[in-house]
Amino acid sequence: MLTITDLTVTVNDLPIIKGLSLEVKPGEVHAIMGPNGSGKSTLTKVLAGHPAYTVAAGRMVFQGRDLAEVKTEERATSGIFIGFQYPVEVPGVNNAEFLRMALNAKRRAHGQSDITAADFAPILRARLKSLEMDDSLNERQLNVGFSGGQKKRNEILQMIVLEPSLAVLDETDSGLDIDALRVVASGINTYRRADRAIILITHYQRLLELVQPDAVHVLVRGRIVKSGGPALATELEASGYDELLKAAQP
Amino acid sequence: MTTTIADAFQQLRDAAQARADALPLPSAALEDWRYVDVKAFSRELSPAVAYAAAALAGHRAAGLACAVVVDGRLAETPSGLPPGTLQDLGALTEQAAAALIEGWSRELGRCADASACWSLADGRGGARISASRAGGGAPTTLHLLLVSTGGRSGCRLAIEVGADAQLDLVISHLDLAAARSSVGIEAVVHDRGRLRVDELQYSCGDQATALLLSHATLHLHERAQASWVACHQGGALVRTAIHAHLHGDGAAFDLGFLSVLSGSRQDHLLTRVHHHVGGTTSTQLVKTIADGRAQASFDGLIAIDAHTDGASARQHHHNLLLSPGARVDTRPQLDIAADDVQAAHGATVGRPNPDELFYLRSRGIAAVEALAMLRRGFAREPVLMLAHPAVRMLAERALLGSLAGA
Repeated sequence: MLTITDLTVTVNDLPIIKGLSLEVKPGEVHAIMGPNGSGKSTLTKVLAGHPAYTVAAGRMVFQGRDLAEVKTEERATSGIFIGFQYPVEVPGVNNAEFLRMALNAKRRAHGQSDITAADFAPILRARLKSLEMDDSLNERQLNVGFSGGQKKRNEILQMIVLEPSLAVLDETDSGLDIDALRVVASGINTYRRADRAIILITHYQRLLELVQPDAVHVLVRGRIVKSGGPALATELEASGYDELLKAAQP
Repeated sequence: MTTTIADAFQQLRDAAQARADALPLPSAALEDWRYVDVKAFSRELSPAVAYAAAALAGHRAAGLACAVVVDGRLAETPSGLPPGTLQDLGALTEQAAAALIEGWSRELGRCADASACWSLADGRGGARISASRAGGGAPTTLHLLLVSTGGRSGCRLAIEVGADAQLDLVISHLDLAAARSSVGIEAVVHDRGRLRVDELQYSCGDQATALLLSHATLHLHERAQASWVACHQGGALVRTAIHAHLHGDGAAFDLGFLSVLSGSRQDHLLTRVHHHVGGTTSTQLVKTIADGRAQASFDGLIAIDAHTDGASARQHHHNLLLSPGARVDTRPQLDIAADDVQAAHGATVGRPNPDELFYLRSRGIAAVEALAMLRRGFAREPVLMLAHPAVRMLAERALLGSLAGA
C-alpha cells in the first residue's frame, strides 16, 4: 500500500529524515517509535504534503502512485489520513459541517454524489457514540476550546468518518487519560481491516498494548535503525533509546 | 402633509442645503485621519433608474413586515403593524414634527462638513418608527428597505422605543444604480426598552454602491439595551458613523460590524461610545475581510466620563487581508476619566492562517474551498450576532456567497 524508499526530507535545507525506507502492506499495523527530534512528526507532515517539508531524495509511493506530484488534498481524497499530534484550532468553522465537507470532497473524488446534512447527521451520531463523544462537540467550532483529549478523539472521529486506506496517527495517545486511551484504541481497532493499513507513531508501549502492531520500527536521527515485532516495544520500554542513539552518532 | 408641516420640513431642507453650501467637504484639513475624497466620488452618480417593487423580492427578509423607502420617500408600508409604529414624516402631528425639526436644526448647527448636512439637504422624506409597551411587550419587528435608484437622496429616521418596549429593526441599503445616499438616524431607547438593529448594505446585481453616508445617534436610558449589527459589502465609498450615548444606569450597547470587501470597494466606520454614567456596558466587535484593492478603516472611541464607576467597555477590531493591495487602517481609542472601570481594546491584522489552511486541505478540502471556509469562519461571529435568522441568510448570500469561489 505504501512504499517509502531512501527518503530524505529537509526543512529550511536542514535534513531531518535521512534515507528512510519503509514498506506497509494492506492489513498491517506498523508502530514507529523513537526519541524526541528523531523525525517521526516530519514523516507524517511529508506524507501529508506539508509545503514546509521538502523531499530532497527518495520516493513515497501510495497505492502505486508517486506522491511527489500529488497535492495535499488529493492525498487525502485518495485515502491517506494523518492524525496530527497537535490538531489545529479553526475558529468559525463548524465541526460537523467541516466533517461533512471533507467527506463530500472524498466522495466527489470517487465519483459519488454529495451527502446531505440530513443524511450525514445519523452517520455522525453513530460515530460519535462509538467514541463516547458528546453530540455538542459538533455544534462547536473545529477544535476550538477542545481539551487535548477531545482534540485527539476528534482526529479519530474524522478518521472513522472518512474511512481512509492508510491512517498515520502521530502520538494520538499523548495527553489521553486511561479511559480516553481505551476509547481511542477501540476506535482504531474498529477501523482496522484487511484492506487498510495503520502507522502508529508513539513514545509509549501503552497504546501498543491495546492496538497490537505487526511491526515496530525505531527511528533515530532520521533513520530506521531497528525493526522487529511487538516485543521490540516492550524491550524499548525497559532499555530506552540510549544505546540506539549512541550507535547512530554521525 | 399639511402645508404647515410640509413647509416646515422644506425650510429645514433649504437651511441644510445652505449650510452644506457654506461648509467644505471632508478634507485632510478637517479629518486628521483616514481622509477620503468625498467630492471625487460624488461625480460618479448615475441617472435614476426605474424602481420596480418586484425587483426587491429577493431582498426581503422572510417572515418580517417590510417597508420600502425609495430615494428617501416611504413608498410601501406593510399592514399589520401596531398603530403608530411607522409614520411618514409628513403624517406626523404638528407637535411631533416640530420636535423633530427643532432637534435636527440644532444638529445642523453642529455639522462640521457639508456631507454631514446631506441627509437633510438631499432629503425627500423619512419616517418615524416607534414601539411602545401597548402591544403587550412583544417585540415590534420591521424590515426597512432603503432603495436608491440613482442620483442624490437623503433620508431621516427618528426611532423611539418606549419604556419596557422592544423594537427589532432591519435596515437594508440597496442601490439599483450608482447613487449618493445619505441616511441620518436618531434613536432614543427609554427605560428598560430594547432596540435591535440589523443592518445590511450591498448592491443589487453588479452595480456597486457609489456613495453611502450614514450616521446614527443612539440615546440609551436606564437599563435600556441596544444592539447594532451591520454587514457591509462596501462601495465606491461607504462611511458610517455611530454615536451611542449611555445615559442611564444599567444601559448596554453592543456593536457588531462586518465588512466583506472586494475590488476597489471601501467601507469606513467611525464609532463614539460615550458612557455618561456608571453601571453601563458596551462591546464593539468590528471585522473586515479585504481583497483586491479594497480599503477599510475603523476609528473607534470609547469615552468614559468622570464618576462613572462600574462602567465596562470592550472594543475589538480584527482584519483579514486577502491580497497585497488591500488596506485596513485601525484606530481603537480609549478616553477614560473614571477610576473604577473596565475597558479593553485591541486590533489585529493578518492573512489566512497557513496552518489552518493546511489542516483543512489535509482532510481533502481543496485549497480554494478551504480558503473560503476560513473566510466564512472569520466572518461567522458578527453574522451570528444578527438578531434574525432570515437576515443572517440574506447576509450570507449577499456577502459571503461571493467568497465561495474566491
